[in-house]
Amino acid sequence: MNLARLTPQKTLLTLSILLLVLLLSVIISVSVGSTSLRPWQFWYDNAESALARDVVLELRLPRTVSALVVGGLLALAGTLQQVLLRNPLADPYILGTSGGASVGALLALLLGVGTLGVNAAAGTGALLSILIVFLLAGRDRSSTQTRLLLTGVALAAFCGALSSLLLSMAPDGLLRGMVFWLMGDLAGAHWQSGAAVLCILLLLVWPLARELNIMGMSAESAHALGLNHQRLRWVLYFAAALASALAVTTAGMIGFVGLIVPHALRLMIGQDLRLLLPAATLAGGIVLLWADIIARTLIAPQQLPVGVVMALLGVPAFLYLLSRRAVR
Amino acid sequence: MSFKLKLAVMVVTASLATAAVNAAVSVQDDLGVTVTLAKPAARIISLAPHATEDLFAIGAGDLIVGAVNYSDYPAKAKEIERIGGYNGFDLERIRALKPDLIIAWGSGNPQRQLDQIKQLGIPVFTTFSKKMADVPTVLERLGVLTQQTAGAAKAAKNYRDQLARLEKTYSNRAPVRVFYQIWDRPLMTINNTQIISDVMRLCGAVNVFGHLPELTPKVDVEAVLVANPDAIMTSGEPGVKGDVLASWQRWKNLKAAQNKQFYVLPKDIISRMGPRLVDGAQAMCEAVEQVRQVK
Amino acid sequence: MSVQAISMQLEQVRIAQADRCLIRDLSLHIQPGEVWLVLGENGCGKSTLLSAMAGWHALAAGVVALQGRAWGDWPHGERAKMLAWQTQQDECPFPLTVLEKVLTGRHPHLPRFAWESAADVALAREQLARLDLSLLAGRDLATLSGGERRRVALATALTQDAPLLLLDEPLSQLDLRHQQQALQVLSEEQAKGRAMVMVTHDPNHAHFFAAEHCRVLLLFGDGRWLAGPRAEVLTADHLTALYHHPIVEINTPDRAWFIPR
Repeated sequence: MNLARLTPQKTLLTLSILLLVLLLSVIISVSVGSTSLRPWQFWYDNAESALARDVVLELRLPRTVSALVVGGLLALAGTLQQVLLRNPLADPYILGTSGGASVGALLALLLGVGTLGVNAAAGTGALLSILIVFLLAGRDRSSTQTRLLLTGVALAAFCGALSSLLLSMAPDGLLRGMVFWLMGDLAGAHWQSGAAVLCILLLLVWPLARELNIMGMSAESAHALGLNHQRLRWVLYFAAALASALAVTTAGMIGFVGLIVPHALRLMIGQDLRLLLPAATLAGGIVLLWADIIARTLIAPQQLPVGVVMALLGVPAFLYLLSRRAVR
Repeated sequence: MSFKLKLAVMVVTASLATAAVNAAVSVQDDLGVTVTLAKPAARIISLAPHATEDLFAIGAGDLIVGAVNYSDYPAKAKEIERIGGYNGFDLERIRALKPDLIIAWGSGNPQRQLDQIKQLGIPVFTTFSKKMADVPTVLERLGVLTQQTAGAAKAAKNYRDQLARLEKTYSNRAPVRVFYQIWDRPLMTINNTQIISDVMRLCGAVNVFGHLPELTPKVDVEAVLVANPDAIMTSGEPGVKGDVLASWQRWKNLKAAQNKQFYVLPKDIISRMGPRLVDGAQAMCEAVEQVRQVK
Repeated sequence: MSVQAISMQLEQVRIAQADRCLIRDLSLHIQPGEVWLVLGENGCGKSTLLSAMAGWHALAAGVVALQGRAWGDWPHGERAKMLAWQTQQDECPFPLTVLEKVLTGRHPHLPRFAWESAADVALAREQLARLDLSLLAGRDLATLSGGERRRVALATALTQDAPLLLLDEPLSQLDLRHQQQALQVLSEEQAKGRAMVMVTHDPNHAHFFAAEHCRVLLLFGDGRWLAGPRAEVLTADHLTALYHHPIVEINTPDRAWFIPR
């Protein structure tokens, strides 16, 4: 009888299972790569084991953590964005945050600054777009957040055009790096700030989960049940924007994680954000990690862009879920 | 010979030649297409920096009426009117310059634009050198098309002499394993079919990723660590120190890092398949030789 | 279960939608245990008035106060313990079961980190049972019919356990049996001392509530209004003027019925 109601026990159980899958994925991720080195080769004292240590600890482990952090950020951003726009198919990139980041990063790449400069420029671009949307769509009481959505979508389109302009002006040598940035790349990503922001955001929004459950229903219901609707929607907007900005800054444009993971998970474990928020964060990390494992091992030592692998795997999965939803 | 005198001689030779044979010329380009001109080319557009260098090297530099950006060698090339970049050029301006020959770049120019040029009825000679030895043949064929056979023969001979000298000196020395990085993010290298691999072979070096199927494969750091090359090389602006390669220094188990064998070769001469490629080869052979010494 | 006695005052309230003034200078005093029926044509401002009383729609002029304290000064969480507002639209874009939806009514009463207790669940199930929804508890809201969703919304408002209920057409789309059942539930709540403001299109609903507690508010849509005890306000003449259509009163042995001619 007590069919789908979420209990603390069920939350703990689901999160434990996800943590276990995550742990297993991490072990597999550090054990495979473009070479046949394995973590258990550590314990010998020769050149081979020194090499294994380098490869596993210095290359595969940071890359694994980056995948978890970026996937987690994107899935968290997607979940929040979907609640904010009351649309289960909203994407963390929809409100132009990543568009601003792209313009910043491409501009930095065109000017030939280093990796840190590119990251800083992407972050600045993202923050600028966040501010522009905030200033233009400040007051919107419609239940579907129409003005917010349209402002964001228009800004995203504008940023898309700017990005195309920058790409068309780029000399061939730089074009390669720019296009590659747009496809997403986890190699050599700096995951530390992303991880910190992910933890802070989770600590900030998870306690609000019950409120956000109600926010997802309708603006009036949220008000009727005693929520400060105006304040919460900006908490949601900034948290989602910050998460997607950090993800894009860390690893370039990786699509579909933020759209598919929350949506698929919702069909499996329900909408209750007390579980969905942390579960989507973990699952986003796991999914992106697997996309990256495939990207770097499938035709090793050659590498595939992880964003492309993610889209190639994600879009069919998404279309499948969508068609099932239509049947229901 | 002073420059003025040289020019004078050239003009005289040219006019004599014109008087003697103002007949049709015909050669095959690097794609195997036969290029036939009713009379030798007099208005040429160069769609690649190396093609500009080729034409100057054979003494046909003043026939160029338009060139793409970065056509900066020799210095006089900078005065030529620009018609865009090698990866996208202005067809209107090309047509307005009324060229009678276009020198294209097989792996650099967009095919769609080249097709449009062909539709305008302008003859196109495509260069696409895959080996070091291919470069002087381009010089010779351009010599035929511009009726500068003597200059072309001389330039080709210079190139071949230098090439033979390098081959004799270095190609049989102890092999040195090299990772050649053409881009850092994404990390990209070249396989054995790329012309720089031929330069490596000449210098007695081995491309550690030569066996990969793609012309410019993307690889990961892990694969480089396991390949453990003796040296890591890339190309860059002359004078720039090994900044782009600095990130490799953290890998203490990498032979190249242990011996600090990072080389930034002068970009224009190593990456342009023109007459100075042999100078680029010289620079690489010297670098490889240094690696060999510390090995 | 005892119900806190609260009262709401409206002083010189003006309600406008865009430039159109719907209600002018409305002053009401809603006492504990009173049922107010709001009647009027479509678009006359019934829902907007409820929205304004809930503190969502901004007043063009005037004051709404609860317990003598201006509504705007109430903290959001406290407000939700005092007042439950059932709106007309309650479509949820996400999958949500009936029980989950009804349990959201407990939100104002729960501390931040608390989960719904067994008592909360029991209260929610009790409301579902009263409205004949027990068998639907595990169903997804999206699979319900319109009338079933209205009843779920009413159950949610009841689960919120607030002394004042604002109900926007709670009985529309309900079949006859469930209408009677819902009215029965509402009159039980009234008897406990809960105050109610209810938008409806059927003047006959008024007779389900004890005459001494039943008030009626007629909104004419042009700023004019008429409020007072049922017996004074609910007459065939007033209704005819309100609906711009002749309404007659037909007396049966136990009550009077208003029907359109």
